Amino acid sequence: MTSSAVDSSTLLDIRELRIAFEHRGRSLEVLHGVSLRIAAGESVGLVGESGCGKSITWLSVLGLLGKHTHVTGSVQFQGRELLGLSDTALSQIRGRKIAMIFQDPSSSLNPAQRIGSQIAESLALHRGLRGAQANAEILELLDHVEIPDAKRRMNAYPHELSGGMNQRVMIAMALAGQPDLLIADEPTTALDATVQAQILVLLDTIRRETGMALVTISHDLGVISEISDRVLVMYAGSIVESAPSQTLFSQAQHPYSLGLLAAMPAFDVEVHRLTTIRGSIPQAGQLIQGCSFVARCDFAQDNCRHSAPALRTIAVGHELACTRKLAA
Amino acid sequence: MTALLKVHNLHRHFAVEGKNEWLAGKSILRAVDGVTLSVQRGKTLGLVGESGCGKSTMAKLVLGLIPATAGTVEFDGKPVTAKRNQAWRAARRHMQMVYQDPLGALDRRLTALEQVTEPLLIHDKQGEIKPTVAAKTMMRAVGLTDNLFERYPHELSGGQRQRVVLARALVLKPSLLVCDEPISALDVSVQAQVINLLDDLRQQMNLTMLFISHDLRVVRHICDEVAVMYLGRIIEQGYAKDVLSHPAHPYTQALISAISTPGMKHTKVSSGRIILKGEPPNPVDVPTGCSFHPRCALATAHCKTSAPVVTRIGDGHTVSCHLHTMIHHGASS
Repeated sequence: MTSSAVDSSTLLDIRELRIAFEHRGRSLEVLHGVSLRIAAGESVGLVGESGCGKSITWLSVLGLLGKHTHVTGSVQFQGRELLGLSDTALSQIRGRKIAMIFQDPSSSLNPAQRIGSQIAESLALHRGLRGAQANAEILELLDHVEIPDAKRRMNAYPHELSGGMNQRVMIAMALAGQPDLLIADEPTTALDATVQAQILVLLDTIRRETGMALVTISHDLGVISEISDRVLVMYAGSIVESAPSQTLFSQAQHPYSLGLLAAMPAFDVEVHRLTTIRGSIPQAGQLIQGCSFVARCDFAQDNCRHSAPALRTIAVGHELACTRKLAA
Repeated sequence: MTALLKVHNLHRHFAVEGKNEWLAGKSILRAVDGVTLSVQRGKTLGLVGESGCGKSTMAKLVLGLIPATAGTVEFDGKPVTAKRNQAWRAARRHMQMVYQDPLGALDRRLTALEQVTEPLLIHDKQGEIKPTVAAKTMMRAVGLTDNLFERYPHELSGGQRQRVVLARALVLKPSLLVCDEPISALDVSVQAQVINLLDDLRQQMNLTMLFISHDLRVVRHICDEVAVMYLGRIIEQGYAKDVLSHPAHPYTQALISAISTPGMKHTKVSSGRIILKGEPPNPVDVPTGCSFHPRCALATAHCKTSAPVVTRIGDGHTVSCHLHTMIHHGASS
């Protein structure tokens, strides 16, 4: 990998990213200054509920938000600033160095085009491969994502394949550009439980083999914990906690992280009542004084209502945006 | 105790146009293929399985929304048919359904209160209490506050919408509630709220529930009994604690193994877990013998040719698998 003078292990460095939408003449801020860093080859999980900003962060990194959005901050990828980059320049990176796969493979694929030619498109665009060379690479990619009988399947249309197979095709397309960073947005949500396990194993294996970094976005803590080294918890447009996976699941500190963990029914112990987080997430763009979680928090104090807590380091690799006294 | 819902040897086959290469020659999709089960009054049965296994077709059959190809459904001692006659309409009010996607299930042009009032206007014309009063009582019971009554579905959050769907289903005081993936479309923190609510209402109203879900955690939490479905058949059935703690069928074992546990070492992906080969086969082209054999790590030659029969392996715990037939009957048939 080419790397400049910056810290060679940092692949992506997002600083103070803010996103606001124009809506009826008003500006609604949905992302409130997110900073995060992804190292080369790292596997990071991003967890949060719908509307917390976990997907939009990445859409803005890839310049996929429409004209009516206002993005500020800085996104440095391999030492290069992405925000404000022209579309032509961005297309050298988008889909090539940074690839993304989405929740529902059947709506991301072109239903009227054979899957082989959809992959060929990425290969031609990103690596200039055509003809026999491209065909050989397509077979290789389909093999890599463990699609059996690749020769025959490359001529299939998406509707002839199952959801799990289509998601494998999406992964193959994402890998076609040999990305340094793969963003998987809810990659298994639309899939069956047994197939979900297969896809997670596949993503994990590919990451280890290719050395690319992987960002997995999910609302499912189980999925995140399986393939991520580090977990970021987002709530209402901010990162509220960041920790190594093991630490987060055993020593989460933010009341929201704790609530998310407790709200999941346990499989091996009998619980009569599930712990819930009362209320619901604030509406996008709703201005909240102080901590955005205050209305739902059991530990809220007066000062929580006045100022929003900043992310601070509480242990090695563990950051927290909460002023609560730490549990021992 | 008596069974409120009895399903006997139920079949539902769909004719499929066999035009493309995958379906050529075959033209029958056996969505439900010989299901027998019963739900006791006041109990909850979880119906578990992956997409395409026939869970949702079961829901429609049980409610008499589509006719069965063969077999019977009995609700409260009376047969349920899909003939839209007086008896069918009379039975409707006692059996209600909650769907996965609340926004799709609600009428976007009606306010929350109008949606919940509507069943009363249809079924309860001679009711003693004014429909809107009864509807409001139910809405408060499911945790909707008065300020939400006049809102339209798009003005409500996902959790609130699902509460409206629940209120609408329960306002007629049904005895059977069929829930088809009732929480899959909701956020994690809201899922827990809705599960707790279902749990409370079930006890307060002595509801019998058929709870269709692919989420074994939730099933474990809320169901008394569990039936595991694969390609239109029940392959294992029993009390939730037996089936989920001591799964006997290799498929059930794989489903349970696929549950991810937060906090488990993230290397779990590569260790100890059963990862099934392949995907559920196309229900139009069901494998011979035991339909699970192409994906089963323990399959023998016998499994490829002969279909296993239902074997009792414990108190109310049955399984359809040759591994157990052999243990219990010595040799296989």
